[in-house]
Amino acid sequence: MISESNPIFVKIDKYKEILEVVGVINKKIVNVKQLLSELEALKSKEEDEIMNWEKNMDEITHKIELLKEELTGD
Amino acid sequence: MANKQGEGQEFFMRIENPKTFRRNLLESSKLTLGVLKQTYSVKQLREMKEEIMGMIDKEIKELKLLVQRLDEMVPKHSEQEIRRRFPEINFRKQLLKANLPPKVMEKPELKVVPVKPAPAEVKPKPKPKPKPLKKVSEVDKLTQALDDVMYKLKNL
Repeated sequence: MISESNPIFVKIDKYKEILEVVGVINKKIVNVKQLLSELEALKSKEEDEIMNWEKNMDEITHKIELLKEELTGD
Repeated sequence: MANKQGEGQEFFMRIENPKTFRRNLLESSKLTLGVLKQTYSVKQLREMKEEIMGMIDKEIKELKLLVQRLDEMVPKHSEQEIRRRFPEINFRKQLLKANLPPKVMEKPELKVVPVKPAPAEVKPKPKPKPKPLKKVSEVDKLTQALDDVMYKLKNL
């Protein structure tokens, strides 16, 4: 292994290639970050929908209870 | 309130507030339809999420390949290997010529010593893992890759 204090030397053509690869990696990272934020937004949307779902289900249960009361006279 | 009316086969229920009853019934129906609509909406959201997750997966796989490529491009010869390949180069003289402070020269000597025992301690750990695993799943492959990276990091 190369110790921290020793410099390493890279051929110029490889160096350019390395810079290109690093550029591509950076682009990909930005893209992944964007996708992750989109995913986060979708996740919170889904959570909101499920919350509404539960709220509506509670309301339906309540209404059905009222109907049942009306029918049975409880 | 509901009361039974009539006897025999037919029964009739008296509904005190028919309007309220009907309203409740219609509202329940409306809410049920709303829930159904939400089900479709949630399904759609999940499909979109899966699509995005697939895209992320693809991007990460490509990133993994790019990082591997980068790793291959960077030279990884150890100091001893360089000395073996190029015995004519005297590193100490080179460093002195470059007027580098003596501390820089001392560091590699000190660091080479602790590096040697480290692989001996860590090496046996990743080796026994792949042997018992005959069917290597994707997760196992990733775990192994992660172990390799951890091993490399430890030995830096």
